[in-house]
Amino acid sequence: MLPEPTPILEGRHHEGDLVADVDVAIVGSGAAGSVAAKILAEAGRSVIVLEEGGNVTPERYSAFRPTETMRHMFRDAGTTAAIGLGDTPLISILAGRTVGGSSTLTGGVIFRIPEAILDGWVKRHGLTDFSPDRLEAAYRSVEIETSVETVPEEMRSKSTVLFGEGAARLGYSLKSMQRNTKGCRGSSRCNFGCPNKAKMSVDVTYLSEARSHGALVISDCRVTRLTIEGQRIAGVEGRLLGAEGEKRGKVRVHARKVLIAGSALSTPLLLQQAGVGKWTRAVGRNLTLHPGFRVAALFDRDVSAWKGAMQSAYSDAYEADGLTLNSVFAPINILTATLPGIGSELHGYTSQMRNLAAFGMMVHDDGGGRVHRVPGVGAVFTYRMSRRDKLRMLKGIRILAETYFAAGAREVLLPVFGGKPIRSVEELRFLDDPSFPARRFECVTFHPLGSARMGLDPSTSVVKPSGETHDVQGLYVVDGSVFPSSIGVNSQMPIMAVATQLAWGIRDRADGLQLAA
Amino acid sequence: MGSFAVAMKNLSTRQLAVAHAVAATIFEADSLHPVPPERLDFTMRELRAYVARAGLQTRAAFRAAFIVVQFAPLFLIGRLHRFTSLSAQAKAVYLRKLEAGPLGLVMVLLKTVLSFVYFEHPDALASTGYDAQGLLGPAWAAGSPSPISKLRVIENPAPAQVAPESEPAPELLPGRVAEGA
Repeated sequence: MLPEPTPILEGRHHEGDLVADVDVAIVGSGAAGSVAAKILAEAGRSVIVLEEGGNVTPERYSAFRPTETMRHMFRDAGTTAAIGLGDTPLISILAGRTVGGSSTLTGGVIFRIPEAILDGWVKRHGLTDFSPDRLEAAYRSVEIETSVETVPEEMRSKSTVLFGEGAARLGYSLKSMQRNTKGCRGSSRCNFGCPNKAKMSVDVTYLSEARSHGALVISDCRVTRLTIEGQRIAGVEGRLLGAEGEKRGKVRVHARKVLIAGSALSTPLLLQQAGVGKWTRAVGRNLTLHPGFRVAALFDRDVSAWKGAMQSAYSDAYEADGLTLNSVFAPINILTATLPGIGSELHGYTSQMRNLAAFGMMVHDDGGGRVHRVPGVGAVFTYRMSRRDKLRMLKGIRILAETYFAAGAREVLLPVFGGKPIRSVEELRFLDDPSFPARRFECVTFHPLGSARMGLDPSTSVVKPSGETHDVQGLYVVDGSVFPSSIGVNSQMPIMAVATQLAWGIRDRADGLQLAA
Repeated sequence: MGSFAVAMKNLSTRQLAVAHAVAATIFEADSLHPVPPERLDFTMRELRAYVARAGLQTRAAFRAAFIVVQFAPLFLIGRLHRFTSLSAQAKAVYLRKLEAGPLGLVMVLLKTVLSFVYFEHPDALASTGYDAQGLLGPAWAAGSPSPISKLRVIENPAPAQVAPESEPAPELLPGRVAEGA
């Protein structure tokens, strides 16, 4: 039986400044930061976790409406976007800013990194610790900690069942997903906080255990500066934030090691501010996003797609084409936002939501994204889609639409701004034209990765295979920023497994650390 | 936070007036069934709260979108009027042209966020046919601080658990971070 977790110190309620002296300071409490906190606290290190977002407990978020979740738990209330450069869509990036990070807002989907990808990491980047065999123990550890289970077929929504019927008619099939859940009741709103507290996100697993081992979590705390003495990390500085983001007390943490786990969107900003990797020009580059697209379809029968697991099945039939097809849904108010028309035309669609099905796909992309640090503004994201990925996007959208027609859909709604409903496969021909402007597509992603690559060569990577930066001793990056390539599957498990592997290494190379008294 | 920063986070009365007129137009089922004022009031209240939490770039985009919507009727339908001064019929014609034209992204932005908040009103949600607990139950259960809890609900969900009071902050000590170990 573990001891009672330490209380979370909420910056918005704390008066005055904070000073701490610890073995390890971790920036970010999401999938990576929480894993590292648990492993290092369990090993006896004194650990502090600094989280910019607020402390929204499962008791609170389970009672939120979707827009309340967006306001209180999403980065920029869900309005973060990557500006498309050239022939590229505007890409909406959904990321968490809360204790537990994006893990509280995922569909709970668990995939291991495809072996072919890991083989590439070993061969092209020298990351021998990340071969499929070497990662096996880390995967197993995460699967146990977060209660990974297979979604039973009876939990599939009618929307997913219909898509599966269409797929079977076209000669491919769906497979059951795995998710980190315990007691899912199929409310189909995982991305906006589980209403039944069934998602085993890191706030209720790893971070809770880390707190039981003495780690202190401070929420509403924005780290603004890394303190570096010579070539060695000395700690971090930051600010407590009020409920509306206003500045409050100062925070100064002296630490023997600093682990950055702020996500591929935020981690590069801290590194750039500190001048880490400035000679390589690699910090903030190579951002991959897995551009995602959703196709909806109207049927002549009741679908009530909100009954069942939001994500329950997938298809890797088009893996060779760089496409993963995933079952998806969203709360009604989010889906209605994508429907065509105004007035009576829009009403015609919103009154048929019972007949609406939806399925999604994501593109295994090249690293065409970049994180820019703009003084006075903060982070600005840009993304240039490669021609290969654009063709993948067009093909994937066509596959989704054809599959729903094969399932008997009377009308298909494509993710095209200002687009008209499609009533036959013949009307999909425009998707065969590579010159159709990419900016007209509605695109969303949950998987930013790779903006501070891991590798052996300091001229092309930011961190070593141990996660330590090439430039500064004791400064580590342990989140999805270190991925040297896109992975083509949902990133929650991959981030946790890689963080586990890195944290085990940090724990076992205890140089400069002393056990807490 | 200074008064300027607060002002930059909040929508102005004029911007809300434009948003109100856009919402009344896009969510009107037909001319005989205008959107009930109570739903529009709720939508504006929630829109204001939502935009205040959006990112700097999105808030700037919102301000630009309101300006475009308010002053573009001359260019799209040849009327020398502000959007809010047009008749209901002219507003609908204008917004359809705006959505289909090169400035369509303006409509996408406004329609997206207005739909987010409008369809959280229980009656608007009911009009879609939604009949499960996922959105209705926990969110609108008794005890919610949201004004929506005072509105009609469609089902009788189980009461939500009340969030615990903030726990006392631990004391920071050199070489250690908490007393819990």
